[in-house]
Amino acid sequence: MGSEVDRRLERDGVIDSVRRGTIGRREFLRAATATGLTVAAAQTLWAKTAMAQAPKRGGTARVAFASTSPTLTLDPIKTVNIPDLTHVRQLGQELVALGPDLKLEPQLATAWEASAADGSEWVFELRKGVEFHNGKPFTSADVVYSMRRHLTKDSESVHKAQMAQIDEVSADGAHAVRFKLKSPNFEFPVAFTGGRTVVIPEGHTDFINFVGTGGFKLGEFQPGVRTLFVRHENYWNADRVHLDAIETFSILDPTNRINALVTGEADFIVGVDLNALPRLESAANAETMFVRGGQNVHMVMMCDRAPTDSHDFRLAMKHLQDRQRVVDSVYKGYAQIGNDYLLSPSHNEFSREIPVRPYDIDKAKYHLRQAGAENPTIEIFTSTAAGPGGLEQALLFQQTAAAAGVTVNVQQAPAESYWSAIWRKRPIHGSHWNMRPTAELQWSQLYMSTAPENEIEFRDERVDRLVLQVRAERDEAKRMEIWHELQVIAHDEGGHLLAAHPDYIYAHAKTLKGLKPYPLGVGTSNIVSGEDLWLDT
Amino acid sequence: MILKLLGIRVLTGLLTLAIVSLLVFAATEILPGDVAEAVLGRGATPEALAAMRERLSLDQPAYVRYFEWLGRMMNGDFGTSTATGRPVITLVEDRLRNTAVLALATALVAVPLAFGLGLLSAMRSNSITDQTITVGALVAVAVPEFFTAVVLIYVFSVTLEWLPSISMIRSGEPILQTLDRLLLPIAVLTMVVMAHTVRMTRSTVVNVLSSGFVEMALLKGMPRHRVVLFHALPNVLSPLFTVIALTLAYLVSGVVVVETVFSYPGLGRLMVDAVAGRDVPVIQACGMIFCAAYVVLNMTADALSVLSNPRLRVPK
Repeated sequence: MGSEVDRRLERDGVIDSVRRGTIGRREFLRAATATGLTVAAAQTLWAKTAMAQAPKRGGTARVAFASTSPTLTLDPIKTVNIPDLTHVRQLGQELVALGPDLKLEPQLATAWEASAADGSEWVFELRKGVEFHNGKPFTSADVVYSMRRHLTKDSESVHKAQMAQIDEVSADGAHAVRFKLKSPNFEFPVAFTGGRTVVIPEGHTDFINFVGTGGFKLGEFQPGVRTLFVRHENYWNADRVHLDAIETFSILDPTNRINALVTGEADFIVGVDLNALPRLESAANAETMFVRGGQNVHMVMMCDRAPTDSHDFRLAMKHLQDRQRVVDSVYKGYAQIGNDYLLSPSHNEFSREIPVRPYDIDKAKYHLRQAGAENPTIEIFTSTAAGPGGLEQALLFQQTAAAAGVTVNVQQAPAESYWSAIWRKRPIHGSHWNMRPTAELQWSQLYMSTAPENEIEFRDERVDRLVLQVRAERDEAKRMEIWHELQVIAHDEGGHLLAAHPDYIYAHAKTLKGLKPYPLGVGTSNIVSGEDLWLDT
Repeated sequence: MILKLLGIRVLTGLLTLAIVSLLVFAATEILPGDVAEAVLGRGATPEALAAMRERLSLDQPAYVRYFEWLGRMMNGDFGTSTATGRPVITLVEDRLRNTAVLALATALVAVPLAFGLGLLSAMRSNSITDQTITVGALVAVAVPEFFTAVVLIYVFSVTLEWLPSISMIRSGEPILQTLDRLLLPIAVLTMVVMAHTVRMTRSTVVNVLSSGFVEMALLKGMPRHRVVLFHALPNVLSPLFTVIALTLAYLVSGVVVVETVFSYPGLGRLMVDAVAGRDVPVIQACGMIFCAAYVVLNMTADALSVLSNPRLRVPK
C-alpha cells in the first residue's frame, strides 16, 4: 500500500517537488492525504523525503554558459554581456535583490523608505557586520562611492539613464545612505537590482581583482576560458552557502553543452534547445528546468518610418501572427502568449483585462485598406542573435500573413553585426530582451520619449505623463490603474509585434540541489549567487 | 655556404614578418565597428562611446598608431587588451602553451602514423592495402572536422563513457594530467592532417623505388626492406620535413573548429573571440604569432632539408 502511494506521488511529481524544495510541508501533506494516506503516515513520508535532504557542505558546482563574452570586464557599471553581468553578480551585491516572486528583498540594505512624503527622497538603512572579500568592513562610504561612479559627467556607465533620476547621494552616518531624486519615484529602489549597482569598496579601481561582498570571491579568472569562485568565509549570510566553489565556463555548441552535462562534466547548463529535450529525458543523471518568465522575442515595427509609421499598418501586422501557433509550434508549448507589448503575465503589474489579440485575416485586410497598403510586400530582418525562435517566428509569420495578401521576405542577417547594423535601422526587424523586473523599468527603458532603448521610436506625451504620474503615486491600487492604461496604449498603438514570452530552459545534474526558478532568467537566479545550492554526492 | 643560405632565409623571414605586420594592422583597421561599439554593445550611448574612444586614443591617425604599435612590439610589449584591460601577453601565454601542446601531441601521433602508412602503401603499391589506405586517408580529410568530432564524442564519451566530452584546461595544470582530455581532439586533428603526409610519402617512395639506383641495388641481391630503409628513405626526408612544418603551422593557427567543439582554450579561439569583441591588440598579437610560427617552421624545414640533402647545398 505504502509503496503504491509512493509511486502515485512520484507520478504526480509531488515527491520531486519536495526534493526540489518547490512545495512545502503543508502542500505535501495535502497531496499525500488526498491519495488515501493517513496524516501520520504522510508525515513520516514527508520526513523521509524532505528531511533526508538537509544540504551537504562542500563540493564545486560547474556551470556551463552558452556564450563567451568577448569583452569580459568586471567593472559593474560597464557590464553588458550576460557572462560579465553574471560574474559581477556572483561576486558582488546590491542594496536590494529580487526574489523568485519579483518582490524586493533586503540585501546590503536592511530597510528602505521614502523619507519625503512625495517619494522624492529615500533613505536606505545598511546592513551591519558585512565584510568585503578583502576584509574591509562595508559602510555608507562604499555605497556613495559606487553610486557616484554612475553619476559623473563622463561616466561610461550603461545604467546612466536609470541613475540620472538621482540628484544627490550622501551618507547618513556610517550605516545609512540618503538619495535625493530629481522627481518623485515610489518605485525607485528597483533601480538597484540590475547588477550595475553592485557595491565595491570606496576608492576601488582594480577590476581585474574584483572585490565585492557576495558569498563567493574570485578564485581564478581566465578571461574567455573559465572562472573559479571560492567561498567567502566571512560572508554575512554564510548559513546559506554550502558549496566550496563554483566554476563557470562556456560551451558554445548546444549539443556539446548537453553532452557535458550527460557525461558529468557540468552540473548546470544554460540554454537548452527544444530539439534536445528527448535526449535529456533519456539521460539518467540529468533534469530539465523550465522557468516561466518575461523573456521577449518579438518583432520591432519602427513608428518613425514607412511603412510601419502607419498605425493601421501596424495593427494589420499584429492581427496576422497566430499567437497560439507560435507558442505551440515554435516553442512546443514552453512559452506564454504575448500581447504586443513588453510586459508578461509574470509581471506583477500585468493587466489581465486586455484581451489577447486574435489571428484575424479580415481585420488585417481592413486595416491594410485603411492604411492604403493592400497586398504589400514587406521585409523582415532577423538573425540567430535575435533571441531563441526569432527566425522561426518570422518564417511562421510569412505563412500566416500570406492569407491576407502580404508577401513577406525574411532576411537573415549575420549575428555578429546584428545589433549595430540592423537593430533600430530597418522598419521591421527581430529583437530580444530579457525580462526587466518591473513595469517601471520596462517603460523608462523602452517606452518613454527619453527611453534610451525605445527601439520602436514610439514617442507619445501621454506615456511620459502617465509614467511620471505612476512614479509619484503612493497608492498601490491607483498605480495599477495607471499601469493598465499604459499597457492599453502600448498594446494598441505601440510598434511591438510580440507573440510569445518563451520560457527559459536549463538543465542540471540531479545531484545539484536547491535550485529555484527565478523568472528574470539565470542572471539573477541563485545559480549565480550560489546561495542554497548544494551537491548531493 | 650553408650559413649564407641560412642567413638569407632568416632575412627573408624577417621581411615577411614586417610585411605581415602591415597587413595585420590594415586588416584590423578595416574591421567594421570599433572596440568602443563592441564593448558597450547594445547599450552604447554617444557620450559613453566618445569617452571610451578618447581613453583608448582611437582618435589618432592610423599611421601614428601603426608605428607606435610596431615599436612597442619590437620591445616585446604587445600592449593591453582593450576589452579586458589586461596585458595581452598574459592572455596569450596560456593559450599559446595549450595550442603548442595540442599541435605537438598531434604531430607526434599523426606524423609517424602517416609516414608508416605511406611507406606501407608504397611498398605494396596498387594492392588492396594501398588502396584502402589511400581512400581512407582521403575520406578522413574530406569529412568536416566538426562532424568527425561530434561522432567521436558520441561514441567515446556519450556511449562508451571512456573519455571526457570537453577538453577544458585549467591554468597551470601539468600537461600529463590533461592527457585524457586531449585524446579526442588529437584523434580528430590526426585524421585531418594525416592524408597529406601519407600521400606525399607514398608518391615519393614509389618514385624512388622505380629509379635506376634502386633497381641496381635490388639486382645486387639486397633485401627489399634494406633497399627501402637505407636507399629510398633518405630521399623522402627532405619533402617530409616540409610537410611536417606545414602540418605544425596548420595546427598552430587553423584548429579553431576543434577548439570550439571541445571548448579547448587555444589561440585560435582567443583570436575569434577577439575579433568578435574588436579587441585589436589581441587580434594583432595572435596574427603576428601565427605568422611567426609559419615563418619559423618553414625556415627550420628548409634548414633541415638542406642538411639532409647534400645536393641542395650547391647552388645550381
